[in-house]
Amino acid sequence: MYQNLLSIFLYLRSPFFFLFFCLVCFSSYSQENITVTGKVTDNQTNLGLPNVSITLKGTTSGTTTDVQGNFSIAARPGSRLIFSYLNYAPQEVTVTTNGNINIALASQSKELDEVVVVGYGERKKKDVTGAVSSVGAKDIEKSTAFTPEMALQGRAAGVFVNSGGGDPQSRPTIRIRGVNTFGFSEPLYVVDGVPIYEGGAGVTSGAVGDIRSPVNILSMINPQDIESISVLKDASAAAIYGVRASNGVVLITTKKGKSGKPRVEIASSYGIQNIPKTISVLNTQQYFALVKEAYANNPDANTSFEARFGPLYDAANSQYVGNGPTYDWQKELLNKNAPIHDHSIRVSGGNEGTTYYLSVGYAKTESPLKANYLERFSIATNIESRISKFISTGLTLRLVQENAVQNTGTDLGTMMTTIPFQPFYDANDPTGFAAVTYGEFEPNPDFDPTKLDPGASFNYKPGFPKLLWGPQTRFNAFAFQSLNDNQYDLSRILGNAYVQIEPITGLKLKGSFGGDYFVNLRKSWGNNDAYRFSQTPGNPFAGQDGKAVGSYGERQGKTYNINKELSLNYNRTFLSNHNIDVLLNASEQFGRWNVSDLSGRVDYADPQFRGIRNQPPYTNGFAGILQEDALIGYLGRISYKFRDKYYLDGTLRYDGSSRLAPGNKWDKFPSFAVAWRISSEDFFPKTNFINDVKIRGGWGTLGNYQSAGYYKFLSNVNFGPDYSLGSGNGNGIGSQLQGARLPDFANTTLTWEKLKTTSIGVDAILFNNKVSLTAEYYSKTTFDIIQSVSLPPNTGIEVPADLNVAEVSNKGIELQLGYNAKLGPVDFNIAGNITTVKNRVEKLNAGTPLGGEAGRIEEGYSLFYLWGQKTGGIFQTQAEIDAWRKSHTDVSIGQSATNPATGYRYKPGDMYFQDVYGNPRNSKERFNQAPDSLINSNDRTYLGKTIPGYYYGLNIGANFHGIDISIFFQGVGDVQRYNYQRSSGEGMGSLANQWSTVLDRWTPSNPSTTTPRAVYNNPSNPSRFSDRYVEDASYLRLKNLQLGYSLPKTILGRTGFIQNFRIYASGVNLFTITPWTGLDPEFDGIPPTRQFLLGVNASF
Amino acid sequence: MKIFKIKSVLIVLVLIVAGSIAGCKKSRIDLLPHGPTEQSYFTKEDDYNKAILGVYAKMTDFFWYNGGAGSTPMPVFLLPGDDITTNNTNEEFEQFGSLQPSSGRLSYLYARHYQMIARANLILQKIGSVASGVYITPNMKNYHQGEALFLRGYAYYNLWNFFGTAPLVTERVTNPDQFNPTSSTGTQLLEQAIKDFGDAALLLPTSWDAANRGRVTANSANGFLGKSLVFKASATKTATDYPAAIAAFNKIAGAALVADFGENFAFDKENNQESLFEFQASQAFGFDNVWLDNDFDNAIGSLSIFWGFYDNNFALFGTSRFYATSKLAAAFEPLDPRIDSTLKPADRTIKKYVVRNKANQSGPGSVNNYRILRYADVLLLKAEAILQSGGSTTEAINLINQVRTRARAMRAGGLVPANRSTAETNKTTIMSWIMSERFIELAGEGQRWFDLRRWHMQGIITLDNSFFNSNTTTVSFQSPKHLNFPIPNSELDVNPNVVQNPGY
Repeated sequence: MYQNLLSIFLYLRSPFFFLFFCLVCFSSYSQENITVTGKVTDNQTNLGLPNVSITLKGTTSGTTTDVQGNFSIAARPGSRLIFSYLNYAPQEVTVTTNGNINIALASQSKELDEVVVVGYGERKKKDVTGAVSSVGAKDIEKSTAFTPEMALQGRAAGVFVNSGGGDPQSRPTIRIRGVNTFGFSEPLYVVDGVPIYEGGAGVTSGAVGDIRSPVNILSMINPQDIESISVLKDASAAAIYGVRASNGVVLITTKKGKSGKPRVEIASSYGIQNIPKTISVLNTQQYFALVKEAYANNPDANTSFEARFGPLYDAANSQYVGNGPTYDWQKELLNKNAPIHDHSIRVSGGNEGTTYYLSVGYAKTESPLKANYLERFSIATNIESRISKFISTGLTLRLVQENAVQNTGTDLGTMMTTIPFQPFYDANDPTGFAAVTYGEFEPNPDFDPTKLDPGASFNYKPGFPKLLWGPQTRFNAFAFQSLNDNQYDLSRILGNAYVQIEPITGLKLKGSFGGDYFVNLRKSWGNNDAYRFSQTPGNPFAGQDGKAVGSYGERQGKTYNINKELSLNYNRTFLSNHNIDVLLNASEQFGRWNVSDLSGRVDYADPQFRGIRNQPPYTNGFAGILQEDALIGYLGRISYKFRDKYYLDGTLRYDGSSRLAPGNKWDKFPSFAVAWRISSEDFFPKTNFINDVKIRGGWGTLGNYQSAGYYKFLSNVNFGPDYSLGSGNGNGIGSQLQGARLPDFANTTLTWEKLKTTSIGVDAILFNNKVSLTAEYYSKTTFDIIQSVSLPPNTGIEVPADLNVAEVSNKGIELQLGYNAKLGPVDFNIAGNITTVKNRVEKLNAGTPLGGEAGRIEEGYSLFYLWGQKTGGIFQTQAEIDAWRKSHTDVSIGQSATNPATGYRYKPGDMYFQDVYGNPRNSKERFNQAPDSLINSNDRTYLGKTIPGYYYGLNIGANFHGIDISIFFQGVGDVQRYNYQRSSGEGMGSLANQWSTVLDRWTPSNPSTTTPRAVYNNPSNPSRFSDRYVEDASYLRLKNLQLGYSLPKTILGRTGFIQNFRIYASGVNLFTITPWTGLDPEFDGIPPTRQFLLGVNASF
Repeated sequence: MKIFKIKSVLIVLVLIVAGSIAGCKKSRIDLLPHGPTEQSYFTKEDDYNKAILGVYAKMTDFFWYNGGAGSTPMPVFLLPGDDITTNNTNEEFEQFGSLQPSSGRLSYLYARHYQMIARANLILQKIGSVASGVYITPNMKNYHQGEALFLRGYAYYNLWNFFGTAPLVTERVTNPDQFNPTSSTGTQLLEQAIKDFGDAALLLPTSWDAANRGRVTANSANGFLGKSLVFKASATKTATDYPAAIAAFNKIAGAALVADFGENFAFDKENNQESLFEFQASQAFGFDNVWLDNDFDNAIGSLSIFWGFYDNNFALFGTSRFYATSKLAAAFEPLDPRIDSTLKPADRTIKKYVVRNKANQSGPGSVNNYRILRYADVLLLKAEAILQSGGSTTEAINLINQVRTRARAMRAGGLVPANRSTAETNKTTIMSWIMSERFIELAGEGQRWFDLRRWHMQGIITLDNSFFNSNTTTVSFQSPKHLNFPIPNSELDVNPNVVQNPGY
């Protein structure tokens, strides 16, 4: 079947066909226009309706009503005008020669006629058959985030959003209906038809993760320009992007102009943000008490505490710091009341032939931590023009410049464990900061300044560098922030142009050409003086001639992405009730990511002179990265509709990706969906409490090529390793030579990762159009999952290989409920949604589990579950220990089952662990279900799951005489996380500073049952990966509270030019209810901030 | 007219778009990387040379700083045994009791050895089918093959000494069926090392030119062949391997003890006459970044070695430095000149590798080569082989005396250490001489644990807690459990066919 379709389509693609079309379809039209005027009112209240859209049928020209509901438009007699207004039934009226039209519109259910962008077109919500969530401009504007994805958090059922914290540059994590794969799990973003491509996407570690900018590239789209965000969640919805849609598709549609008078809108907001919580840590006195006690408790403390850790720790020494002041490193790092700016101006309008939208925006957000901000300048245009009766064309183009400074260089977690007696500032130091290390240098005998590469000019003298604050010295982040500089300079052009020909009504041929080009430049400056503030000081003179004051580097990543598409669409209604919509589409995408890097020393301190051009000619560079992707896809879609009652959609794709192995590059992906509006059946009772009911279901398959790395079917040659030969006879260095390695496992059978989805849902409008309900069950299975994991070490394969082996399922329910009502003068609405996810690994290669303790992948469990030992308790008495030891041996700390004198001997206050399983009895078994009295690595077990079991959002809004209020809650539940910060903050095994919670540690006089005693390098290893640090990470947040006031139309009418004026105050993350003991249950690194904002929106 | 113009423009525009799509050929997705792949590589002699250097480079991973005193594998080589100790509390490689399959250092060392083996296996596969004309330099193909065999043998030699029963992989892994090999048994790994060293000895050159100094030679292979045979004889308590070991040692030509014992640990006397195999520590010409591994990138990844435990480098960050045990300090005759290059009796700090050291640019790293096999070691092994196989005791004692004579001669008119009497015929006494000579001569060179382990297997000594003479008080050695270190969880967790060593 699809072969036939394809051959027809291939013919259609030929240029001759186009030429034919083009020649046939040009004709001009002429008739005199007259001016039509009139008024649009509400059929019940008889009040004028403002902003009603009036379009001339068959054209894009049109206008809108003014504040009183009056309009004026030029039209030919006999042509038809369409009056449409949100939440009202549209009407069509024929223009008569008298030029006067007054009509009354009737309100109807708000939901059904909402238009939803579904990819290659729009549909009314009532006609949607697949699983689609949509968020409109109103809600997007309420989200104060810099980046558009955050507008989805809690507002779109089935869409899980983790903010990535309060760093304005961070990337939120989006997962649609669970996590499909261990590989690439990010949804596809499509901005105005251009699928976004990012080099290194999804990679957060290693060289690629480092080189890929930390700045979120989606922040380069101004949320103010967005009309709607649609999320396509199941196969039948996402099939049109099937080639890369298995993780769902996020369609971002930007605003367009409407014909009519020019409309000017301004939006401006200003706010501040702060991190709401820091962790209480020990002061200097408490710290010394703890580390002394911990050291004394160690059975191997064969050297005195003072001798082991030096004079700073020696109360008898003049350098002793134990009586000194306490420095609060966390507070010092905070950037209090970090400002947030967002300002934009948009102009839109048009005439019957052409509409336009222009926008200019500026936004800047400072991080809640010092020395970090993100700033955006954006311009967007959107122009559409009907050139003749049959031809229309359009262009969207956005230019963005982003500047980011990223000098924080640390986080609160690091600050928590910094020793409390180490100061930040020192007035006597020329930099003003307290030094961390002290080094003395001596000239290198090999140094030859006459050479271009003179070698290291100085080496540290023996015994240097020295740490100034003892063995636990920490780097001085504040000095780094001041001396060094790390800036990002990102530029982007993103645009799409199309030409559409409609030779006969309903038949559209559209060719489009879109592209995204973005350059990410990192400019990094390292001051030679900075070594004094590092606890791991490099030699600043290495490879330099001693004159340099620092080093400067530029790393540039260029991404370009070209997308070409041709589609043929035919939509026609036959015999008045049968509607058919056929789409044939061919698309090709090519993306390239190219990274280069240059760096070298700089002999001038002036920031003005920092540049590659001012460096001496011995600049270092590295080869960088060059990655390319190509995709070709063919799509056929047929949609059939009978009387808005029965719906049928069928899609077939044929896709190819460059990333897969030859012979497996191409695959077919079919999908189907049906819907039945049961409420339109004659037998369905007409009542006021059930207004509309539609049952829908879909099935389909989608592909994911992005889990595959680049060229994983090949064995690449890498020139990373170096070795040196020829030393001897006085030369200790020899000559550095380049080596080669072939680190890959070439998988020659690598093929598509595929996703099968099934969803069944009900959409209903209830109780006199006041309640809307969507309930949906989904079930997805990803198979042939491309597993990119390290192979067993014995293979010696250095780079994780990509294999198609595993199967993962996600099942769950989505529920959305909305209520709209007018309670007297108050417009009241409440909307909530909840999504459940049951994630399960169904099958793995030979059943062999993967991954470590922090993210275990094992059959029958949720992906990335936490895996470790379970704590038993804390011994309170020697008798307890003796009793326990009779039946248990902790092998992992060296205890012997036969000889209790061997290995570590517990003392009261020590933590012990549970014997959960036994050692395997044979090589087939991983462990024995029956405990064996031995505690070792075979006792590791399930400790928690990292994929939330459910997440939800609740929005309550009210509108009263121009005052509007909206309260938005959002949360996740049934999820656990490992609290890494607490594990280093309560471990008490080193000289690092600790959380104040350790004041409750076990001592003979404080027999704690939760915190063990303090022991330096604790041989009982209570900080092993165990449930001790696994915590419930569920939370409920008051995400947004907004209070606004709009000037009444009556006052605005008097001004004559202001159409809309609203001021608002907004609070973000006002409170969070959570059992999580760390900084934040969502993200501990730089936690999400609490924000207070004031803003104004106006249109003219 | 105007309309017509717009139409013409439009037609062209539409044609361009349509044409570009119509031209979309399916083959456009057949992209290939912009860098060499296996298919395009191995076409020149230099390609093979680079690949061989890549095998050598893997050794960096055994000895570098690895971005932290808590991560570097050096303690695994240096600490176990009775020559070196530390004040670290809970030091698993000294106390044994807390040795766990989750040990990061072990897991790292295990994986890196197999990476070295994989690199060698790949070259052996490629060189086996190399087209004629690729190699132009006479004999170079043999040399490369010999180097790959030698380095694989060295990796198996280490693996057997550390883990005993790790899997044996001698073919390049190209198929998922090869991912999960079973554990080896007995001395299988050591036997593979013996085979590889034996094959390599026949292929390798006797020496290299100055620019290639540091590459392995036939001497390196014969030295390690003999050493592995002696080890196998110890472990299996059979004397039949000793004659082969002696034969291998006898093939070593041109090696000699250097006059100054200290030169063996001096950065400016690397690859000297006594040296049979060294790790060639160096520094990257850009900046030797001791936080990035050798494979990271040219001119950035570390090429250096970490001697920080011996010289109390700042980069220890509170981890204790290493000391000589009091047992070692007492083993030297006070006037033995070797003590000056080995330790400072007053505080038992270690001087080997440190007093004649050269730090690289970045501080924690050093360019001072790790001496893996010295001729002095060979002489003592040969003495042991002769003694244990019932050979001439005089010949054996003379070999010990060669080592002692060199030491004695360092001081003008020196009397200590005196020669052992060649009249001695008691095998046990002579063996104890060999053992104590090895203790003193090779102290702190990462050899001690391997010797103790095999002698304990052989029944010549009995290891127990008191034997180790540790600064720490909680040594908890259990035999036979601790003779093999645990197979790391990183292997066990993913390879169902591997069996953990008993006791863990």
